[in-house]
Amino acid sequence: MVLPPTDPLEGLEGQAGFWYELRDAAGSPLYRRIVRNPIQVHIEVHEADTPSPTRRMVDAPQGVFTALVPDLPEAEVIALCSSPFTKAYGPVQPIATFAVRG
Amino acid sequence: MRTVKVLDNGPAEVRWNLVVMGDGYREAELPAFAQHAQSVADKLMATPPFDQLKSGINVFRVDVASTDSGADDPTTCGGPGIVAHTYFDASFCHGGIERALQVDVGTALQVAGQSVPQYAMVMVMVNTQTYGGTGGQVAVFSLAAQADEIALHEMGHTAFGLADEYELWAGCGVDTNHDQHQPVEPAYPNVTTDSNALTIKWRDLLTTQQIPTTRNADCTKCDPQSSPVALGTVGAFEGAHYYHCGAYRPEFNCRMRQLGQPYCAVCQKRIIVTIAPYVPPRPPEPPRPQPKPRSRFGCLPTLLLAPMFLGLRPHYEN
Repeated sequence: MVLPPTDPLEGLEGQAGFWYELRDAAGSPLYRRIVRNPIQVHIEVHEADTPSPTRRMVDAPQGVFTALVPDLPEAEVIALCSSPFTKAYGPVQPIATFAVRG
Repeated sequence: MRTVKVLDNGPAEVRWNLVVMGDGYREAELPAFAQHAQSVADKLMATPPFDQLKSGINVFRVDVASTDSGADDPTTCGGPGIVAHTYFDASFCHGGIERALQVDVGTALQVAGQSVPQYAMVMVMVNTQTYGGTGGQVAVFSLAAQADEIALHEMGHTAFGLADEYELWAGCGVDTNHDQHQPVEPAYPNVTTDSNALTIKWRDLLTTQQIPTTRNADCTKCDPQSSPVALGTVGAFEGAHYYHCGAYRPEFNCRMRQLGQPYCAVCQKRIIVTIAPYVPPRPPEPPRPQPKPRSRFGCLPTLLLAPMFLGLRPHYEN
């Protein structure tokens, strides 16, 4: 299966948003995709009479999502990296890691 | 349940695969869903830049029959109180918001994964004429006029990691605390806090040296000015990413700012870069007989113009 190209593996330090990445044993990223936070703290609302959507906070944020990563022999973990789950905007931090092999 | 390839450009393993599923279609209504899914595929393929990436894209539809037509529309949000038993449990009033049409995302992704394991994007069309939709991992939209624009906007988020370019949160004239974007750079490719022409992340696409290209004179409000530049001008327009000031967008307008608009050049580049690996290389063209030059300078105009044409070719590098 073909995957989208990786986003830059360097130069995003201190930036905000959400991405997931594949890391090696030393913690270095091997593949990274910037995506919208799949655990939606706020949602987009579309009204028929307003051309731009608007936003509303979600009471109980949850999300189901898939993360496609390449099958690399040196890969150890998938890391989810996110800004704080609040309306405030802050730098991305790791929020969860998962071993890629059982 | 049946999976049909609506647009077939090759094996799913090597193509970018869009899966369109329906909810609130009874068995007898599945032929209508087939038409609706075809319309979505047609619209996508007529939308730049997807129109130039067509050979890398497959579109699948998954026929899923529901017990009832339509979607839940609870009275708690002002709806008529419709209760429809549907496969993906489509309902308005998600999060208590009237037009927020949502489905069971877990079930939708599960069915999509069983039908097309190599899916890149999943959409669910809900069989109701009431306007509505939501984004997230699955783009959900109704059959109302222009509701398919919701799908294209949400696809920008889900499949390509694009940010919202609008400068409002709850609405222009409503927001009281969205004056200034925090001084933290968003990682997303189409919004920035950087207004320096030499360092701005889309500097390779700038078509004006006036950076910022527009400023919002009153950061307590949405910027009311109309575009001072020609359509297609790439610069840095203040007002983006839910804030009136301190954040910039690449063009005055874009589908990630306002539904019904084309994707801006920066968003188009992101889409092209993402899908490019799925586009098969063009077969080499057969050699053409070369006419003899009429004089030793006969080819000069061609040589002079060649770089201009080369500069117009789409480029796929980051």
